[in-house]
Amino acid sequence: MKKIAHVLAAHLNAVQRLKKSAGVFSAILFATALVLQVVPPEIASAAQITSRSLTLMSGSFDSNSDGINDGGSLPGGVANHSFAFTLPQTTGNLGSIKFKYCTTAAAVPNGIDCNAPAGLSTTTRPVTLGTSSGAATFSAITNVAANESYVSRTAASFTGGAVTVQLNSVVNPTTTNTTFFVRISSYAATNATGAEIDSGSVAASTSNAIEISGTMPESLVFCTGRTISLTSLVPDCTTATSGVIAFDQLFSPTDTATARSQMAASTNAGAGYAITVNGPTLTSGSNTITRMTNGGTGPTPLILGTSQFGLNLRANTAVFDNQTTPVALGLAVAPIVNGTNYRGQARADYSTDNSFEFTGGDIVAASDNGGAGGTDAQIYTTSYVVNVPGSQPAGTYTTTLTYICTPTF
Amino acid sequence: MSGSKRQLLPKVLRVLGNKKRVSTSLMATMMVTGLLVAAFPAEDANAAQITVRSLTLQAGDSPNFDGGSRPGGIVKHRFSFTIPSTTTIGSIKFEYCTTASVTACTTPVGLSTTAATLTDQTGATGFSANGTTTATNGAPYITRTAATGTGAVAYQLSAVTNPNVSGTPNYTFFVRISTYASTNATGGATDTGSVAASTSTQIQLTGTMPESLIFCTGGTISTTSSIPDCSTATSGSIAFDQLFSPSDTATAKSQMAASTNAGFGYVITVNGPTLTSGSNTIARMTNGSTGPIASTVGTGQFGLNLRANTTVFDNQTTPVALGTNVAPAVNGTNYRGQARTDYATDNFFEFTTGDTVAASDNGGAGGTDAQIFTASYIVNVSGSQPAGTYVSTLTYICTPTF
Repeated sequence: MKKIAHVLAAHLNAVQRLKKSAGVFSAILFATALVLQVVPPEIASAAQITSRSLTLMSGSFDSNSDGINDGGSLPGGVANHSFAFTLPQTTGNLGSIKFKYCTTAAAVPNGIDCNAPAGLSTTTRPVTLGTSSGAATFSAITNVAANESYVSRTAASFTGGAVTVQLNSVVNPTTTNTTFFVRISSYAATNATGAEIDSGSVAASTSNAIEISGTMPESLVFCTGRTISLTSLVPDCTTATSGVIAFDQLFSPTDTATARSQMAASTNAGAGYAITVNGPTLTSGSNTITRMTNGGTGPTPLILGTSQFGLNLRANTAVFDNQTTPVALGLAVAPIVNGTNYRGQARADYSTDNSFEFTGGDIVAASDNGGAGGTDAQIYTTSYVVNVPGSQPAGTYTTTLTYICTPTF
Repeated sequence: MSGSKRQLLPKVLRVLGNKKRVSTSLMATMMVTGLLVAAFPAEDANAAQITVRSLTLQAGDSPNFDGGSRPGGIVKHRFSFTIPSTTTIGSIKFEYCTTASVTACTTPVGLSTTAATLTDQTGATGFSANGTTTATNGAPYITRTAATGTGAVAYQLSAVTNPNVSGTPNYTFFVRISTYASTNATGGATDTGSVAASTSTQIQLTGTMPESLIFCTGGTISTTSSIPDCSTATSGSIAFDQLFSPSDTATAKSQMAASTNAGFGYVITVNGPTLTSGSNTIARMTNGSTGPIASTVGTGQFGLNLRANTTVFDNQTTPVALGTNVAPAVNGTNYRGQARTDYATDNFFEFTTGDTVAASDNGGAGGTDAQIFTASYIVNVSGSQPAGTYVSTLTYICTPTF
């Protein structure tokens, strides 16, 4: 506008030098005609592209070889630039759309049209045409300069609409946290020349890549207790209660006494964990209750009136005692195994419903479902049973069991 | 090289560049060297990862036999791992920490290795533990004359006191394993790796075996999984197998089962009258205290015994021997129940109310597991025995003495 005003002032001076016989009205008409010569009619008619945006997207190139593709806004990163906009064009042909990367949104008054952002390049890789969709699609791309490309199609009539065009492998400006602009212009010609039909600018910015690092060390979380609860559905070892557990009833030759404890385990050990149970059988002075074992041929079913002490890690279906409201004994490991992040499972001798075993040093569970490996926290419920023969000497029978969880990293 | 170290090097060089007062290049070089050494600890420079590594907590020795994961227990720690390549090994350090790595090592509360000894070694062997190996609590090392070693190895340290954190019985701790070419675990570590273990609450199961007596009677008592099962006892109303006759012996059977943990065992008495019909009775079989009596057809006799009699007492189409011996048979240990003399002679019978018919005294009075006694009853009548229905209600009483 300053340029226009300057020319207008010069001509007005000339008008003043005219003989005063000319009227003011004639001078105004003359000035108007000159103004029309300075402002090209094609600029005046270019309409504003609306609903326009540039989304910087991660591409498929790893500039710094860190195993991660460049982030969309990584300074100097090779990214994909996705343009979305609406062309208001109502008549005529559409043959090409130009994308010109500049440090400013529009030309500045001092004559500088466009400074290319430092480091920005459409020719280094070079840029290719990614997706093109919407009211108009394009089939070719031409990289005119390091900061200028256009997409083209066979010129055809176009009546406006939303368009998306993605340019792949654009080298972002290298300056960190710097805004840059892309001027979008549409043309009837297929080579982005001639008068602009519609135009508009979009902005984007590079940004610092936030590198967050942390170390996951060798991990084992293991606990035992009478009960272990969940916190937000995750087994929580801080909730483990005391390990002092009494059987639910007095021992009897005609009924099975039961008890339960729980343990939880998780590890990131590559070869998983194994849990052993260690300790003697129930003992009262010199009297003992025979541990349940079948010589490695599998667990043993319950027989009332015989001396039996054993355990398993199952949800047993049989009701083992004659309480007023008898319940099935035990629970299956929870969450259940899936061979991926829940691998903990009872070993064979301790995973048969209604059958039990107790051999000190036995592995009772391991994180080997789907292969030995790390596992998220699961809760095991250990069910203990006691049967006694009629002659079992009276007394208080006790055993202290130590569960040991050994991860192999 | 960590990011912080990458940034440190140029900073150091810039700082040195600005130190115009440094008079000689030699001093500058020395300073650079010193800072670089500080920035890059020697033990991290080339240490490779020890693989397939684990720490197994094992029960301790006498007198406590502490469970391997017992908080504060004096136990054994067995380290198994694989040395990734052939290297010279003069010592191996086991550094107990509250964290796996990265941060400085803080010895877990309660952990003590000052009494630890090397009690087993496989793979690269020849190590020993002496006073110097355990001098520093929480970081024992084992030593040998430096020699090459590689592959799978295992070392067991005994008399290690587990961590014991108040209020946290389930406590994870870590041990950083490092191999050294030196024999005193100094200098740069050759290979390193961390293992994890956890103490855990010991499960103390307690149950009470009370004074126990299981006793039942009935027409029959069955076994469940070969064990006498009082829940199977049938009715006690029993009829003789045939009408009474002067020319044949009528028989009947009942059963009873008993077990007790009484220290002095039990005794079972039979109580009741002889068979009676109104004012008429059948004479009970007794011979004072001289023993049971043989069955004599045509005489008034009612008696019983607890034996597997060999004589066939009746003339049924398919006659069978009467009775069964106590089962399981006595063994003087956990099966002690047996019939008393007057009721324990094959084919001889007795009935005196209040008599002890059985007791758990085989091998001495004491507790016994469940056994089933079969009581066999016989009736003989004389030709003049008045007609009628003869009944007797017998009460067996089992008395254990604890």
